[in-house]
Amino acid sequence: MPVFGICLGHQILSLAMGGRTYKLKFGHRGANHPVKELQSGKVEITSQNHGFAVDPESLPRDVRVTHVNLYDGTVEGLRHDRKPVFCVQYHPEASPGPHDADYLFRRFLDEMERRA
Amino acid sequence: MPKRTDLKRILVIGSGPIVIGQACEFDYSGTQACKALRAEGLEVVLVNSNPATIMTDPELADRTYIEPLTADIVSSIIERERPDALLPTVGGQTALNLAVQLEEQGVLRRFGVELIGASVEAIKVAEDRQQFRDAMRDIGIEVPNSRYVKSMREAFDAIDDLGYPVIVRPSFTLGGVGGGIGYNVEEFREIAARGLALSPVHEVLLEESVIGWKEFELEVMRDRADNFVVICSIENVDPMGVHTGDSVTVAPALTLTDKEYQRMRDMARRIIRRVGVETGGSNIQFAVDPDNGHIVVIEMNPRVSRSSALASKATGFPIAKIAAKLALGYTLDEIPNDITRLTPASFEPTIDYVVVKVPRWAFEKFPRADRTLTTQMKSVGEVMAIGRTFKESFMKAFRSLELGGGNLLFSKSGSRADASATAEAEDDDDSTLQRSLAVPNDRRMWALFRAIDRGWSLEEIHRLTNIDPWFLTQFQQLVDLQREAALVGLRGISPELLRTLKRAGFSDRELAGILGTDEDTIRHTRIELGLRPAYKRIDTCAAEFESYTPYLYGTYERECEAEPTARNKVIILGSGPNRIGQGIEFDYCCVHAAFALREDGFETVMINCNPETVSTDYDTVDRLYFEPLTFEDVAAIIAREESAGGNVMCVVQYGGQTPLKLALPLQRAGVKILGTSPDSIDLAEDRQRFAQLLWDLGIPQAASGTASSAEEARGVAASIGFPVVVRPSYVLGGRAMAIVYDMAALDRYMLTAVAASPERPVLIDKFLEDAVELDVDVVADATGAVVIGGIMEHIEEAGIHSGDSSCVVPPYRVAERHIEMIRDYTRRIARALRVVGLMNTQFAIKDETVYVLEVNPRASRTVPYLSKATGVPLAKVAARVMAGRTLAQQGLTEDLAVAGVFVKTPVFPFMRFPGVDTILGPEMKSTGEVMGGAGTFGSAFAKAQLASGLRLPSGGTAFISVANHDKPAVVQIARDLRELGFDLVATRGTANFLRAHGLDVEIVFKINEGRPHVGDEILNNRVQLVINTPLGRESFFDDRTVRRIAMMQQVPCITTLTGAAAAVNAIRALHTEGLTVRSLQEYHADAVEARKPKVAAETPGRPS
Repeated sequence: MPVFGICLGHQILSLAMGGRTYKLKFGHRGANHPVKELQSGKVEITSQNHGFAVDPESLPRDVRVTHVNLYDGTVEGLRHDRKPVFCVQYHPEASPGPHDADYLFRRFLDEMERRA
Repeated sequence: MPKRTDLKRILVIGSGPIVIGQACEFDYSGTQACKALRAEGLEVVLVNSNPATIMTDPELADRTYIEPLTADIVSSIIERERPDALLPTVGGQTALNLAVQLEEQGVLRRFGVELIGASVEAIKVAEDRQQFRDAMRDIGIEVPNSRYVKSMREAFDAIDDLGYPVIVRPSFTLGGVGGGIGYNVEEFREIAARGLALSPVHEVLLEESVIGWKEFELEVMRDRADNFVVICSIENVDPMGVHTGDSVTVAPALTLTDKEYQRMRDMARRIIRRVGVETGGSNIQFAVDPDNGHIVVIEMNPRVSRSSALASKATGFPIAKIAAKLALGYTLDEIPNDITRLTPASFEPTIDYVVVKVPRWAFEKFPRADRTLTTQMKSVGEVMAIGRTFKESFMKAFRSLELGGGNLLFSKSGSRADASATAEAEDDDDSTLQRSLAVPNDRRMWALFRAIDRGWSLEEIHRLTNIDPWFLTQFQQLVDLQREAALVGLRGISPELLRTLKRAGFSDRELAGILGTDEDTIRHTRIELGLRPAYKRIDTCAAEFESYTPYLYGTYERECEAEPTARNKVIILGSGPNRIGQGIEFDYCCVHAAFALREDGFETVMINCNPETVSTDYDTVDRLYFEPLTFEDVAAIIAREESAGGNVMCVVQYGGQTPLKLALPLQRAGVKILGTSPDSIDLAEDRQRFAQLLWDLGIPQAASGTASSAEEARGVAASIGFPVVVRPSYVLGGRAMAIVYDMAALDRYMLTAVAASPERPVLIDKFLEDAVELDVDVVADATGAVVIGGIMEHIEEAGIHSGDSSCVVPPYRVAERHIEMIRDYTRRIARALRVVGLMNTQFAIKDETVYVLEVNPRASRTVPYLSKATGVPLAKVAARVMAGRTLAQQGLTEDLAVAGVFVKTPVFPFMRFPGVDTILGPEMKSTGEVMGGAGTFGSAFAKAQLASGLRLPSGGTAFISVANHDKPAVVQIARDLRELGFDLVATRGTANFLRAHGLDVEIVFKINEGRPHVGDEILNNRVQLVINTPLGRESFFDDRTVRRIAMMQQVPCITTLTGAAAAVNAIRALHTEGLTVRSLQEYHADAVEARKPKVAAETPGRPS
């Protein structure tokens, strides 16, 4: 079954896949954080509200980093190479906040439909 | 994506002279772009006709052309320089239109020049309303219903669909020139006809009205990887129907919910993508129906705009600089944010303060102009203020306007500077008040506060103005606070209430008015209570990251982020909002002072409140305070800067009258003023002291006197004889200045034009009719050395304000002995006044006598022009002199010379003010200037005219109609025109006179003599040149109509004989020489060559 994690969901999925989290010196708060989607190189403006981040070094080899924060380079999104699991640290669903990351829901729906 | 490596040389087009709708914001953006391109190692070729800009400083580009912005001229430059690419997006509508023209004429293709920043397709989709509407329809975004028409017939067909009121927008004009709102068929007919005439493609868009809807703008950027960010949202307090340049605006948008805002943001992304702006910034305007939140898009500018400048200043995000880098191929995430240094430009600035912009109009200069605000911009400048709340920013912005008087919005006594408007305002009855709320005008905000003061309900005010209730509530709260204060008075006021008032933005001066005391008392009470402003940094990120840029604003809070250093510093006071008489030239001087002193190791601090300027760019100075230029605000900043130690010195002579007015109060408060002493400045302004000085020096001055009442004025006039020039003391730009020929006119002037008083007497001078006028700018140092920067001869005779007169350097009609006399007088005056820095002197030559008209020991309007002509940056030299260096140390021992002839010509805003006479007089009316340079006077003058928008004809028909006393002198001009192949037509009197001198002249009717009259002939394109000198009051109407028709038809209309002679000279040059282009760097190299000691050339022994 496809799983899509957001924020704490992203952190829990990371822990479940064998990763670790750590406390940031300054948390990420606000609706203007630039996040780069690594595959396309495109930048999306996101809403964020978190004090911990996932340590990329701690992740197993079949989990790859898909998004990074352009402010401090921390992990903002992950996906599993073989399983239908992906997650983001920021809030694509947030209101208030921009809609740049709406495509994630489309992706999630597609995943579900493909498996329906 | 990395920077493109195939681009080596870029052509940047500037925006030309300062006009309404296109002011110094494009100097700011062009300067940023040039700097950014050069920092990337590219060669920059710049063309702009405006010498008063920083961007045309020869250090800012590899090649700088101060040449007319026409397709022909720019294509000559392209042919000469062969740039790889053209960046058209930082020079306003002028540059954009020019780029489209060059593309359409095939020039870009012919020379292999690529358009970067915006493609022609994108420009067209954005600019052509039909294409724009279709494009918006493609992506499901609504635009108001509209139709393009090319004739009045089509216009009337379209109106049936669209209904009234209808918005008329001419295609391809800037600032909405020629546009308007037609509420009925009569208005519609007039506005549509005018719009069709003014559009360069004779086309107007008729648009369904969304008047009264809320108006918003988004400043957005996009890179070639399709990354998109919103830099700033701006909300117009004045709803749709008032041009955004004439609206009070606020950033960020304050009355939108996040849902509405995000919808708008999503639309903006789709719009910029659809229009196809791939690398750069755009401005998108939206209207929102207040009843249901329905959003429509109004327009998009695919370039850096006035709002971009505002957004840059409001957020600290340098839009023009980033746009230039994006055009080179960088993506947003590859460009660092200068302010935080560590974070990238691909983010959206967050602001923890509120920014308010307020326009400044110049209707007092155009008494007949219609003060109604519509879709055509009428303001000449603006101020911006930053505070923690809307109230604070709003109050700061209004006091930044410098409208004079004390209590501004709450005033009962009103401002002296605009006495007539206030008098009208105080007496209005309820129905007048209702009208001034319902029909937007420049005084509406005052009317609004009056309505609140009279107890009108906010619902009623909202109904009349459509201003959002949130703003109205804020205004109501300001009025409530004022009442609360007035009720308790000075004795009863608690520290808490005083703090609340200060935090709401009330100035000491306003409080003094409300509490019935003086400013000093409030100031002392406040300081005793420890109520001092703290300064916060503009950091683009609401304090999330550390800010390295001391770009500051003041507010009444505890934590101060100013962190002043202990270095020696110089505070430069800027010139505030642009207005007629005090514009970009003074900002240019302030920026130069900052550059020079920074290079010399001083810490530089700027205080200014004009968001359009280079002086308020965060990298112009070490520390920037974006604050009002009032004594209170300036003194508080100086105190803060002094608190860290180090010497603090102040430059007040560079920003025009605004800082000069503060010179004496600041000096009294113990501030060290650099350069010429405030006392000397005062001496030069004080007629009696100054007359005494000239008397002592034995230098002739026109007979003069001062009067503080109408009776005294009559006495003075009787003793010196008419005609006389009358003016108030302490003004710039000839405000309320007039030439008076008889007692009746003098009485009228004293009664209506000025409020004379013993402190502010009226100055009366003998008017030197038909004299030749000259301007001289000099730099003098503390050792008494004086270097004359240049002697500029006015082309028009005496009586026309120096700012409105074309002038030329070097002089071309003045005898050498007079020039010598002028040099001698100038030196003696500079020494007598102990000038240290810049001084401007005006002379008149009449009947072999050289008279001194006035002396201003400060920066003048002509400094930038002269600096460009000579290649010596006079304002920089003088700033160093003020800081203690001598002229000799700077290698300047001789008076400066020019290599070539340079003509400066003013540009006027008459096109925007129907019904206003275009005749020139002692009150300045021009908004900007251009320069033309060439090897001969004729070519230089022709270029300057062309640059100012007047294409002198090389042949055709010339119409001549002159006053009787001008008739003898016009004969030669007419004869020259005949020789140049012109046909002549003239009104009966002039024609008979010319015929009597053997010239072949056809007679044409005056306007009131029957038809077809001269107006018809001009309208039918049968007249190519008009020479018309004013004939006195009787035929005033007739002349005025001719002049106005000529202006609307863009037929050159010359109103002085000396101007006509110069035009003939220029036409001859067009016949014999043609126009060629040359860069400033080449002119300056020649000037340096000419300055080299001649001995070197004569040294023998070096065979060539």
